[in-house]
Amino acid sequence: MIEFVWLIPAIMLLAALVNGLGARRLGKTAGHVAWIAMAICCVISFVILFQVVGLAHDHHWEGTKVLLWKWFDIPNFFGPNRTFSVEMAFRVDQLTAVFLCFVSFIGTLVFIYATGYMKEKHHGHLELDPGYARFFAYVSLFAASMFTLVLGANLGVMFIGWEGVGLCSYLLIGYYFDRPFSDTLSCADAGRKAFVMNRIGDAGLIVGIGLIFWGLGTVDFAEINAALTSGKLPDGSAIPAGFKYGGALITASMLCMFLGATGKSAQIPLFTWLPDAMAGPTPVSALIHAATMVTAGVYMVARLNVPFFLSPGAMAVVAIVGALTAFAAATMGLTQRGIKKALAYSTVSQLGFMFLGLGVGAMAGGIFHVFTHAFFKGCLFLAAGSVIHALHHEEDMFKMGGLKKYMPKTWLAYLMATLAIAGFPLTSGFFSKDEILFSAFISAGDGLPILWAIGVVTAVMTAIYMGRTLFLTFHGPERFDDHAREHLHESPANLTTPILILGALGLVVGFLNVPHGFGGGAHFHHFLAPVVDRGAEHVAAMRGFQTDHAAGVIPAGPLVVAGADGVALAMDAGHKSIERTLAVASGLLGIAGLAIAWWFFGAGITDRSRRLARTLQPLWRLSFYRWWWDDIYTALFQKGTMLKARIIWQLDVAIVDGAVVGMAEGCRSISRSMRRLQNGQVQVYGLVMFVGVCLFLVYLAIGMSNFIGQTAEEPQQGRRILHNAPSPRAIGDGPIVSHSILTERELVQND
Amino acid sequence: MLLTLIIFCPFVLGLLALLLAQAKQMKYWALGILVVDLLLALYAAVFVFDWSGAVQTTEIFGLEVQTPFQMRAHVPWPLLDMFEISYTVGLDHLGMLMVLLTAGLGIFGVLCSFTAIKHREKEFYFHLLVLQTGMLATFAALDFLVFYMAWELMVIPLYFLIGIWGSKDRLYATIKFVLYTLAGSLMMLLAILWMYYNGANTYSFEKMIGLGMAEKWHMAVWPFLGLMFAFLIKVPLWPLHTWLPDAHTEAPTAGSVILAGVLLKTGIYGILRFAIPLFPHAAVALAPLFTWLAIIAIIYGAMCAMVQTDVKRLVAYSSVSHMGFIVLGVFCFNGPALSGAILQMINHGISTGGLFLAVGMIYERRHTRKMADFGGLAHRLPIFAALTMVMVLSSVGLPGLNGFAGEFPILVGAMGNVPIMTLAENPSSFHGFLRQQNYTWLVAALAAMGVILGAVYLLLMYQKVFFGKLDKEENESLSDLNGREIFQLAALSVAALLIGLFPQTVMKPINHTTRHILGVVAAPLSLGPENEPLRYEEAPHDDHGHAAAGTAQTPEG
Repeated sequence: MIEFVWLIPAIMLLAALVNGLGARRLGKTAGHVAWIAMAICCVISFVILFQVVGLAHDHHWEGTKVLLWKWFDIPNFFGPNRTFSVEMAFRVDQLTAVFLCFVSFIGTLVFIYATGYMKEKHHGHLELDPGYARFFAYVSLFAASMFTLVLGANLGVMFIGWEGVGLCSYLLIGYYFDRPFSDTLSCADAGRKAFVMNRIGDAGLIVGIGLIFWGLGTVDFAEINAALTSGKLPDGSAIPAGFKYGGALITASMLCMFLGATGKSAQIPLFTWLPDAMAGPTPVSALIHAATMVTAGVYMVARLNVPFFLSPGAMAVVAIVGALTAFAAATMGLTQRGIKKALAYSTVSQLGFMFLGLGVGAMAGGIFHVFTHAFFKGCLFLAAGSVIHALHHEEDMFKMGGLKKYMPKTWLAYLMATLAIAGFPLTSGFFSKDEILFSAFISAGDGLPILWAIGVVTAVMTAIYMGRTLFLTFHGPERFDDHAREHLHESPANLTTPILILGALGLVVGFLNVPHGFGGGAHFHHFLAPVVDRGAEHVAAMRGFQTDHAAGVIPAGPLVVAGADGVALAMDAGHKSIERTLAVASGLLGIAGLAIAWWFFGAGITDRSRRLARTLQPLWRLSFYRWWWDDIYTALFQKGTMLKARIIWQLDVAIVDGAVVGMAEGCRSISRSMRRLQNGQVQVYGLVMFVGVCLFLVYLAIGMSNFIGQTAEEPQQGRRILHNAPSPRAIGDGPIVSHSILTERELVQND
Repeated sequence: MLLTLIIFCPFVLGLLALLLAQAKQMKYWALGILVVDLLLALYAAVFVFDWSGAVQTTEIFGLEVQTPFQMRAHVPWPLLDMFEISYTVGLDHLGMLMVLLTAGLGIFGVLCSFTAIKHREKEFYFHLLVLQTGMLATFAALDFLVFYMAWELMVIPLYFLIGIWGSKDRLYATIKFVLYTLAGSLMMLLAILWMYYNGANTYSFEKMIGLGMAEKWHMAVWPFLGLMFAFLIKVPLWPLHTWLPDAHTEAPTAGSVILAGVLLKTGIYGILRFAIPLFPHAAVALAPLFTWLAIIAIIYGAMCAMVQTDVKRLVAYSSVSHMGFIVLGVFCFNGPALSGAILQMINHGISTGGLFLAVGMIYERRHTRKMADFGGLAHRLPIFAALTMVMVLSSVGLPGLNGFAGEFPILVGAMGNVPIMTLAENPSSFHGFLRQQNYTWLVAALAAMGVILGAVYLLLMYQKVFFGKLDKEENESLSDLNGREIFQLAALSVAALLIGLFPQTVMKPINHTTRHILGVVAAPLSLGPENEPLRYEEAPHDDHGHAAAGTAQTPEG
């Protein structure tokens, strides 16, 4: 099946094409086409996963490449010995298989959900959204792009998917292209904002790809890894010094790549588009802006783990940016009124967690958090969508409350997912977050575990704001009006079933990766380790650390980052007890966070919660206005760029074009004044002629005297040279014409 | 002979049509003539042209020369052959691709005028056909006098096209265009005469190369600048661009499409065909200058496009930005950048041509180009919105579409800008205060800015026109595209997708040209004994010879 992996994106592309061309004629069929296509892809993905599990027993297997065709092949005829060769090729390995499976599985559920969600109530009965087919065309195209992204065997193909998902995100955020989204933005604005901010990251990505190409002569993942680990280019020469461990070039290129990741995965400094991306339909928020697309940056860093590990500087930046983003976004999420907005900041924060994990070397831990997060955050968004649907597009949590009674299934799902994301013991979020925090702790080595501390504070805040959304939405007094209450009802089965499935899985998928410290097997980690721990192993071996993967030494990455020289000791009793202690602590903190949320918001918006906001007014404002991050960007970049553009255009008209027009005007005014000379008066003509003749005669006289003086002294040089034989270079293959008037200087130079 | 037929077919048959056709039928005649021309060109490309790029030996005015040009016609001009003036035409890979682009886009020029042009139709289409001959001759000419005449022949019909069928300020625009281009042509003429009187004694390009004039003229900067002046006005490169927004805005749709699609490429073509091969030393020495001008053009054009209120003017300024990318690619002197630049010549014809077609379609319906007059058109014209989106994305450079296939190698190549790197390694060269600095990363980063800005202004334009509420009364009754219009945009969209996914089919022949041009600049770039000379690869790359076949069909049929 692996060699037919191209079927996966192809099927989704076909579905997109059918929906796009069929448009309005398809009606309800559009949704069925999309979700059935997705389900087929899901089946294929799982078949591939099982095959990969089988193949992975062979430790030398490094993935299977499926070459489709040559995309680019441009020899560099001149300059460094590089051929710009990019194949349209896919690569299937453990990391890809995992992504394929969870993307297609969650995708199928979301698509089924969307067939129920993309309907509007008109005159009492449900009608399909007018853009129903368009919606499914876009999401199918998204799925095709996402699959291409994770399947790409090189940076070029990955970039196709990378931009493709960005495009679909743009189209889907602006899906309601005639509606306003907030006071300042329309939905179309939000979409464009997302695309442009992503483009800033993509520009970095392109520069990074260029640096890698000129340095290593390839953009293929396997070849990059081979060149970096062996220190040799394919032609046998050594890699440039800048690409050795800690080199400037590898750091520069990885930072450029990470800029791309911050755009796609909404990290500081490019995160402000994601909260506005909630302008899209809720299934899109669930699938694209929570579960799959925004994790592309995490995927890329994990995919490039070898170069990242070779650049401690870049790793540190990844970890620090991740931690800061996690913290900042969590504070912003504490006070948001819109349920989707709160969830969006939560997504940014959780993505920060993932990068924190990657940056401290826990590549598998970061990916595992991507995996668990996809389930519980997908569930949260879909449940929020169910609520919003029931309340007629009301997103303000201050106008909800007490919905548990009306929507028990949605509540149950939301509860399960909230427990998971808050890190309630033994849920999936507990395990995945714990691994990241543990890694952050030990990666500090002997230093202060500052990143870990930030992570713990963030984890507590996560529990608080998630509890807040749960209690404000489903508990406490009802804050909606009677009209809304009349229509309030539990969503139909095609909405609630996917939510419940995701919620339940969100509770239990954590058991796939129970750490050794708890007596588990860390199966998920072991499965991914051959791909994502290559960098750690290489650096450990290179710096003389001992690694012994087979013996169950899991957190090799963090210890490599910490520079610990006894990596083999990773799982000694001390570490195991640290892991257990940290896990118990973080579980307790999660429960504490939920309790705090219950204390303040359990009974809705009460005096207690208002007093809290008043007491902490400056902090509340900081949080509610999202650190004024958006406003600063708008003023600085958006308005600033437009102002600069306006000035440049004015200069263009005034100066660059002005010079041209001025020249024309000058000619005209000269000729206008010259025209006066032709006035028909013969006397004037005669006078001018006389002056002219005089001047000419004077000129002649001066010229003659010069000439006479010269010939008297020496024969003219030019004449002599003409008699010389033509210089050797002047002779072509044929007869050369000899009456050339080469000047002396040129002939001398030719010799 | 076949090539001559391809070149003059539009003109001669156009004359015939002028005599025979009725005014209402003229458009079908023009369409038929251009289709015949395209078929001839395709026939030549598939069955006659040898894509393997073998070099032939031929004799020109008593000199045996190696020439990469095929399908040649060489007829000494009666009476003028004492000055070694001859009618010489021929095509290499670059020329062939340009001829195909010209023949292909010409059809769109006619198709988009079917209903837009309502008066003096016969003249209109005749001018289009003459323009076609002028462009084809420009891409085929191998004699400087023929080239000069073809170069001027392009201006005259366009002068009428803009001046008669243009919109409000057409006279100002067309006179500005003609005077600007003529100023450039004058410089080119002076350069040609300089070449004739400074050792060449011939107007034949092939013979000049055969005589090795490039080496003899290695100190000649002024004639190079003269040629470049003419070519860069046509490109147009900042700061010589100001005729373009006016000409584009005022021209009828067909004029804009041809202007953007083909005419601008004659400038780049001239640089690649004549300026660099004849004056490689000057080209190398001045490459950093043109690199910087290109960078300025990329950002400056994008910035200007951002604040336009007129859709057509916006697309025109976007052309300035995109052509900057091409110039940047040309003067990097490495494989990816140069091949990308040549591919981008074709891509820009497709995507910007398509955008102008789209603007024309909307102008025909509403007789306005102000973005403020639109909004929400996606409601009424979904097909139009979808197809325009493809063109916008192609122009933005979305991977999988053609724009990216050119831009990506250019940007990657810009990071290995050979002249800048060489000059950085070679302090003895005379390149100003920036010498010894390898600032290629800066060039690439600035060029990447253009990628960001491109998304800003094009998506802004798209949003203003198509998104939002349909709140203008006049827009309520607009009809979606008809079959003819759908065909135009859909054909270009398919072309964009095909080139985007399979750029290698076009890139393979382009690589021949790239290798040829880099071979020319190899000597000037390998400066100084203290420096290890840069590598120049003579033979084609291994994979390259056997890479997936595409356009490169078997020669001789």
